[in-house]
Amino acid sequence: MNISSDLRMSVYSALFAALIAVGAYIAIPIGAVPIVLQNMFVLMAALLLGAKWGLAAVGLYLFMGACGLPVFAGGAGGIGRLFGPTGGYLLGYIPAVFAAGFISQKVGKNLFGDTFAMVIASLIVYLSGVPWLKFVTAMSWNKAFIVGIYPFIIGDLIKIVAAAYCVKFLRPMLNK
Amino acid sequence: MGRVTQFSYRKEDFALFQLDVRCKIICICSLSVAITKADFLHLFVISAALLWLIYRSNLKILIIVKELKYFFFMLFFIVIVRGFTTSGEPISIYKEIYITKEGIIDGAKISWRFLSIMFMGLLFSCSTQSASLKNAVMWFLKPIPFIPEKKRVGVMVSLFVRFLPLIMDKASEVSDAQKSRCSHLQKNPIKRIKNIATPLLQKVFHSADKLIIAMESRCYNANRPEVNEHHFLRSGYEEYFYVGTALLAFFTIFI
Repeated sequence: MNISSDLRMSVYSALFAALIAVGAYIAIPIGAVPIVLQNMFVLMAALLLGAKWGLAAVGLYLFMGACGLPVFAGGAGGIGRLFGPTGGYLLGYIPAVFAAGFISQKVGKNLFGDTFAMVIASLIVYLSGVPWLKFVTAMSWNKAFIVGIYPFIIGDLIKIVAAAYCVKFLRPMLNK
Repeated sequence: MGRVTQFSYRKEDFALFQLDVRCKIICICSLSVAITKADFLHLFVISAALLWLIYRSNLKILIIVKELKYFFFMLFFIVIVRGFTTSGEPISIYKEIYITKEGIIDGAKISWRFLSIMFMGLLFSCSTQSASLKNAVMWFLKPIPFIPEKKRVGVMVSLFVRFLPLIMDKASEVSDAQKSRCSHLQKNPIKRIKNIATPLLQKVFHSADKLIIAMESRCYNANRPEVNEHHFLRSGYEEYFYVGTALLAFFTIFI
């Protein structure tokens, strides 16, 4: 990779980190965990930038939040937020973005590959977020599923469909 | 022309604005950890300290409230949802509709914690230049062995800080344009997201492309030496802020 494409990907990674942060402001709070658009931008970062640079975007976003900038859901920030009830979802973005980028590169950059990668990434976020929510809030598994998964399934499916469309539209712009 | 908000950097003759950025980051990290354990008394003390800093920074509380109106709406929503979902002593609000006293108290505490963290972020972003933040990030990353390109991370941090208001401005433009086309009457949620996201992403990617061309045309290279690299100016107030933060954190966690 030459310097020019490195520079381009650095700028795009910073842009996606900012988009993830802005997506976190569009939050619908229900119980302990709010529904946010940030995971749509996380999935798009993985598909458009690939595993390595998608990981850089998510890493930068989490780092800025840990430093105290109000970039987490609903305008929160600080390292304490990473260890709060929603910390599992936030940290789950790291393996999720890597997995989605990797799957998309291997399966192919088409509608099936993109959708499959986003479904797997969403499952990884839940796998990380729900056990964390259960242990931090000391609630039962049943209640953790009720507040941590069920309210978001429809929203996540809508976000996956919208992200698939946006990725199809944006890919030619990034690859020009 | 970019809109100047209360979050935008400004120059003021107050200790917070001359403070070493590393000190600000350490204080914010420590206080944000302590706030997760804070009760009402702790939150009152922390908020009083933050409001004093906001007042001394010449930030206008009414303008802050106006700019954060959706955030305040979300805080109110958290209190209401907690009132409905937490078990405890019921209070009738209308006929057969009940909320619980414990839920309202719990929701108010969570909302107050969020508000304190938001005020810290506001003070940090209005008093810190992105170049200083970049240098501080590089300084913090220096001892970490598995991050090879610290300078690139520093540049990405300053780009991140600059992209945030740009995206907000573009989102506001797109939202106004879509409203004028009555897109808020659209019932399909996928179409609503598409109508906002597609032009917004198109606009921000065009802005990013312009930035890349500008950086390339100036022969940008991540490895070039910089004049002010790792150059931190101490104001002499750092010790006061460290002691104040340590006292607040100790009071919140242990008392």
